[in-house]
Amino acid sequence: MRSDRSVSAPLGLKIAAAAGLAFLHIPILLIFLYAFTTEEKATSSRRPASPCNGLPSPGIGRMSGRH
Amino acid sequence: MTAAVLFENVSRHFGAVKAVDAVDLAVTEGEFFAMLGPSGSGKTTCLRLMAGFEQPTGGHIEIFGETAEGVPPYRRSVNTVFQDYALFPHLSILDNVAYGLMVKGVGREERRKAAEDALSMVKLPGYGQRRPGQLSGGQRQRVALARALVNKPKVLLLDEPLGALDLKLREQMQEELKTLQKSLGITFVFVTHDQGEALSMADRIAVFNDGKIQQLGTPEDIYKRPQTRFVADFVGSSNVLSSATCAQLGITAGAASLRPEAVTIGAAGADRMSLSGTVIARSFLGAVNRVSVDCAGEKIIVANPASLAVPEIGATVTLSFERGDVHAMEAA
Amino acid sequence: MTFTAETSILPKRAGLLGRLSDFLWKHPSVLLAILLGPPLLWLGIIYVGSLLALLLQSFFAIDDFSGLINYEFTFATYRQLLSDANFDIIVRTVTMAAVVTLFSAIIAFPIAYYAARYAKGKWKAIFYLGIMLPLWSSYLVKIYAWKLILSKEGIFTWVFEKLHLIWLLDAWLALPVIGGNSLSVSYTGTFIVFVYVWMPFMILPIQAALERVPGNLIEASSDLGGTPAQTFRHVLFPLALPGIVAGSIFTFSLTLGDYIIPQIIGSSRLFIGQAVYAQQGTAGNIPLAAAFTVVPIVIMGVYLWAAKRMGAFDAL
Repeated sequence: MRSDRSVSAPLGLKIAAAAGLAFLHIPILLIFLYAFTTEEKATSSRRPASPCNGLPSPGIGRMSGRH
Repeated sequence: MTAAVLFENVSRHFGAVKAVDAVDLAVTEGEFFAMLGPSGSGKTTCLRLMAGFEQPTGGHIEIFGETAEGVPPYRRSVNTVFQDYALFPHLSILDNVAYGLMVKGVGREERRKAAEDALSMVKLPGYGQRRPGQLSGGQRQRVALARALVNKPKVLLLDEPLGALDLKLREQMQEELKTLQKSLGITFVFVTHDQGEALSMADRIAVFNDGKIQQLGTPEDIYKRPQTRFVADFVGSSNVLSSATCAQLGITAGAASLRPEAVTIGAAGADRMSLSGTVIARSFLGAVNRVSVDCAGEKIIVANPASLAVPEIGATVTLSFERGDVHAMEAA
Repeated sequence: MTFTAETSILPKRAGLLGRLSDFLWKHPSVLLAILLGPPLLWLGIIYVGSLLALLLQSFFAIDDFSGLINYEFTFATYRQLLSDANFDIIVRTVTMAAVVTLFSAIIAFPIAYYAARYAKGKWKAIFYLGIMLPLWSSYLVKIYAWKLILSKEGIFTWVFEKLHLIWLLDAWLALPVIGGNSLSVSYTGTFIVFVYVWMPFMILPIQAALERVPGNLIEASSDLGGTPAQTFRHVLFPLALPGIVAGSIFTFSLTLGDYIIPQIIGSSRLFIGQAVYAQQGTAGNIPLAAAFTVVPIVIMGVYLWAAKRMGAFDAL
């Protein structure tokens, strides 16, 4: 008979928490959708830049350890 | 006179669970009111309804004549001493006690003085600079009391405040709380599952079971004249006589209660009632001897002063008691 | 039938393992040494050792003519570090790290609070999963996803167009410093992606701290007259502070060191991580790269010291 099952969260908190979680999932959702596009469509769109573009290239091998 | 706290048909349901179910009660201003019951009986939920931590799902609550439903805890002139004290671990004792004044915007110097006075009142002067973690359970309890009282509440709620203390300290605190309540004149509402505590401290007691009030009355009423089997059982373990035994005694009732200490072992006097039976168990409890007697299938417990002789187990004895000590009650 | 054992002292266990158990029971310090020794050696030699070797490099300097490292003790590299161009990089990175940390904490707090206090049973599991899930997908893929979202022809622009709010986006991008041609080449974009990528590292410690705050302290504050805002300010925030500090150590130091996010999403101006990468690479200026790495270490040291002074760890 204690507080465990009482009081639901204030609306503001619910919205803030939901919005925060949505922010965490938007890109993942996008990648998920992107995986369903056909190959031609995917390749005909502009290719994103390589992480090394613009850096004075010190040898690609050193980058590969990252994540 | 308006009641300090008034419940009209108040319910608090959690889904299918009726934690508090259609409760009516009126706490009189300046009294020491106890809510007694086993865990899960709804007494704590009632306290939380008074504090504002819970809102009723039905009924009406008034505090000093003002409607309390929908009013948040921070707008009620009601303060609580929590079961495990709920002292703020990151604040000093002084800041803990002064917390209520601080959030109300009282100046630093004034609230420091008020907090020190409150600490002196609970016999902890000079403890202000310590942290809650450095105090014993009894000391923390006093700090929790000072923290509530410094706000000069209209009603002080105490949620099993003595539950975590050892026996000696508990008895001492019972007396102190009682004295404090009388000298301050504040209405105290006290939740406990210890019937001894309720009987010794309260002006009036509400006995709870299954979300309902079983009986509301003075300690003497509750103890001597229980109205239901539950109250008879829970408050000091009365003997509950079945309707058959009642009939044997010439009383027409579904059930009746009989206090163990109202029964004596030995032949009946002229105006006393009697039953005979066999001794099945006995134990020595210090001031009294407790003897269980089987009277034709009905177990009757007798509590006699230790100075009286105790029959052996298996002996056949006659029990006697006054007609006035047998109280008829509902069969349920 | 008897309920007691046959002897009160059991015989010694036979064999090598039995003797070993007896020995370790009698000499608990030996057990401790066996357990702690290898990891401490690893930490001491591999980790701290290589760090010290790196730091040592920063006290050498590169010879401007030959391009070779001159192994003589000098502060020349540190003078170079504090030159205007390099100092700009440091200020830019530290500012970014501070802003990212601040906003991560602001966004993370409601999530952590909801998960710690209101989510129960199944919902709690879903919340944990929701927080952890982004960590399971590739870091690079997530960043490129953001590139798609933030680029000029991307989703973000499209949504603003549909909402007829494109003027707002344009006004934002017209702002100096934080604006740019599009979000994906502005500091705003870099900031959004940093906040996104480090967010779980902020939520989890705050949640852990909030889980330890008993609910009745919130009730006690409210009971004593504290409004929800006062309860947050005087009870919840101080008790969550160790968690916030722990989380900010992650967000702050990870932002200080990252060189991929600002490379993919952001302007062409460098951050510390990119500078280190460039200096130790083509430029071959290991001493300057080492000096750059000293910066985050010093900043984190000062930060932790200040946090401790402010009592951030008192509630631990």
